[in-house]
Amino acid sequence: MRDIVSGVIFMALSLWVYLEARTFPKPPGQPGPGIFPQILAILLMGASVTLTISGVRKWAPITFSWCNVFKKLLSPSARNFFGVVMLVLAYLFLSPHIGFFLSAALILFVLMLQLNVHPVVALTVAITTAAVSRFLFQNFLKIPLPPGPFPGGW
Amino acid sequence: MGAVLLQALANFADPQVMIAIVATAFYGLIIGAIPGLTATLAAALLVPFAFFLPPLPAIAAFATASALAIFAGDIPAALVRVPGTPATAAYTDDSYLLTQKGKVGLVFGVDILSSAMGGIVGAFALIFIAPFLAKVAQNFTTFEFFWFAVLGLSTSVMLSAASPVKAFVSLLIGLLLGTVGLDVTLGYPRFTFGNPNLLGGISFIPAMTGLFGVAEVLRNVVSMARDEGFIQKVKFTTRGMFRDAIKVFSKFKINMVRSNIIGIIIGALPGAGADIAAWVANGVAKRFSKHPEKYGTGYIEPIVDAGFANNSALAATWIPALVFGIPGDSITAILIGVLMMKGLRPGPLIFQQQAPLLYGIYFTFIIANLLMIPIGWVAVKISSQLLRIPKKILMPLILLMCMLGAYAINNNPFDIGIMLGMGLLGFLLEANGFPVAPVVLGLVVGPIVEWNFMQSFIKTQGNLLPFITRPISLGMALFVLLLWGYPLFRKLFHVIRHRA
Repeated sequence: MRDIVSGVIFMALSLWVYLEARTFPKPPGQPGPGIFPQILAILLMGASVTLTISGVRKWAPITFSWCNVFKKLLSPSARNFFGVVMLVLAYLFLSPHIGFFLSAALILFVLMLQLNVHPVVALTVAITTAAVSRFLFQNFLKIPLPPGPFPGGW
Repeated sequence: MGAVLLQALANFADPQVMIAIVATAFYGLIIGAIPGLTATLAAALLVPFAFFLPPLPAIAAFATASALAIFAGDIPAALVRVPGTPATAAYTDDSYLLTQKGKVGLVFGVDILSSAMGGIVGAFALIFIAPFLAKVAQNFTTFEFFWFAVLGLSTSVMLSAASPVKAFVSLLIGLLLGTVGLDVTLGYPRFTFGNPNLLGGISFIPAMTGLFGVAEVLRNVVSMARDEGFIQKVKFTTRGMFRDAIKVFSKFKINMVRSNIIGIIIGALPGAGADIAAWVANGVAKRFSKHPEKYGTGYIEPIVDAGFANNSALAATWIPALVFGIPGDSITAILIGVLMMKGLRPGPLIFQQQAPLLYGIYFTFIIANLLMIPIGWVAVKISSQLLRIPKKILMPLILLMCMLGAYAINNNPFDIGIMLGMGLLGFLLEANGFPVAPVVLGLVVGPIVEWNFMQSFIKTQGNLLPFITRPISLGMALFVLLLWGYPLFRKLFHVIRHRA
C-alpha cells in the first residue's frame, strides 16, 4: 500500500517537474535549461510507475478509519515529532528578535522537557550548551550569530 | 634529486613548519568533528593566518587541517549519523549501525587506520606519479567527466541495501534538487518560486545535516514515545580498536589495494575528488563482495573501501591543482589562492622552479597522516563518551548542532529551513524504505553531470556521438553499461552454464 502511495506521489511530482521545465526558455541551437529536469522527470515517472506496479502486486487490503488517523495524530510519537518541527520554526522566528543564546537555550529546554528530562537538568544543559555553542561559533569560528539583548550581543 | 630532497628536509625541519602541522592537526580535528562543519570551512578559516606565514608552513597548515578535518567527519557520522562530507555519506549508515551495536572501537579503528594509510598511499602517488597522472588527466574532456559522474551516481543505486527502484527514486530526487537555482548555461532561475535564497541552489551541508541528522532526531523522538526500551544507552568499548582494525584489514587486502588505486585515479581528475572516489570504490567493492546483501546494514567492508579511497583521493586532488592549477575540489581551490598569494604559480613549471617546496608538501602529507593515528585515538576516546549521554538529552543537542552547522555554511537562516525540509524528507523517505544517501550524491554530483553534458552538447552543436566515439569515453561508457547490466549478465551466465 505504501509503495502505491509513494509511487503516485512521485508520479505527480515528475509530471509537475516535466510541465514546469517545458516552460523554460529554449535558445536556438541549444537544449536549454529545461532539458535536464525533463530527462529526470521522465526517468522518475518510469521509476514511479514501476514502484506502483510492484505495490499493486504486493497489495494487501487495509482498513482505513478517520478515528485511527486522529489517534495517531494525537499520540505521544506525533507530539514529539511535531514538537521538533515547531521548535525549529520557533528558533527561526525568535532568533532575529531575542538573539541566538536565548532562543537556542529556550528550544533546547522545551524539547528536553517534552522528552521527560528533569527540569533542573534540562535548564542546566540548555543554558550551558547554548553558551558554549555561542562562544565556539561567534568568538572562535567568527561566524556571526543573531545578537541578543545582553551586553556583548549575548 | 638527492640535493632537492635534502633541501626539502631541511626546510621541513623548521620548527615553524612543525608547530603549524601539530596546531592545525588539532584545529582540523575539532572543526571536522562538529556535525555540519566541513574541511572546506577549516581551510577557509586558515586563509588569514596563512597570509602571515612563509609558503611551506602555510601550505603545511592547509594539508594537515584538511586531512584531519576529513577524517574527523567520520566521528559524527558514526556517533550521531551526521556525515562530515558527502564522501562519508557513502558509509554513514554502516558506521552508525555498527556503533549502535556497540562496535564503536572497530569502526573508529578502521576509520583512523584506513584514513592514515590511504592518505600516505595518496601522498606517495603524489610524489611518484603526479606528473604522469596529470598528463593522462589532460586527455580527459567533458565527455569523459560526464561518464565519471554517471559512474559515481550509478554506484549509489548499487550500494543501497534497499530495493534498486527505491534507491533510483532517491537518486532522482537528489538530482532534481540539484537543478534548483540558476542553470549552468543561461543562468535561468529554475524551481526557485521567486525566492532569491534559492538562486544559488540548495547547499549540500544543510541538505546533508537535514537528511541524516534531523531525520535521525525525528526517528529517535518518535521511537522514544513509542518504546521506552529504545532510549537505553549503547554498550560499547574502544579497547583494542587498532588490533581489531588490523584483523579486518587482513581479511580485505584486495579491497585495500583496489580502493587506493580507485582513489588515486579519481582524485587526480580535476573536479572529481574524494566524494566520487568513495562512492565508486564502494560500488566496485559491493560488486566483488562475498556479502553484498550486508551493505548498508552495519557491515565493515564499505567502511574499509571508502576510507581508503576517500583519503588516497584527498592527496591525489593536489595533482591537478599543482600541475595545471585546476582545483580538484573546494579545498584545493583555496590552496591555489594561497599559492598565488605567496607568489607561486601552479603549473608544470612548479616541478622545476619550486621542487624543494613541493617535496616539503609531500612530507607534510606523510607526517599529517601519521599524526592522525595518535591524535585520532585521543579524539575517539573523548568523543565516544557522547554515547554515554542519554538519548533524550543527546537528541536536542544534535538538533542544535545540525542547526548551527546548516547556518554556518552561508550565515543564512534560510539554510536552517532547508535543513528542516530535508529532515522531513529524509524521515518520510526512510519510513517508506527509500535510502537517503543517494539523495546526497544526486545533489552533489547532479550539477557536475549537467554541466559536463551541456558543455559537450554546446561544443559539438548537438552531436552526441563523441560520448561513445572518443576512445576513453567509449571505454567508460562500456564500463558503466557493464556495471548496470552485471546482474543481468550474471543471470544469463547461470542459465547458460546450467543448460550446458
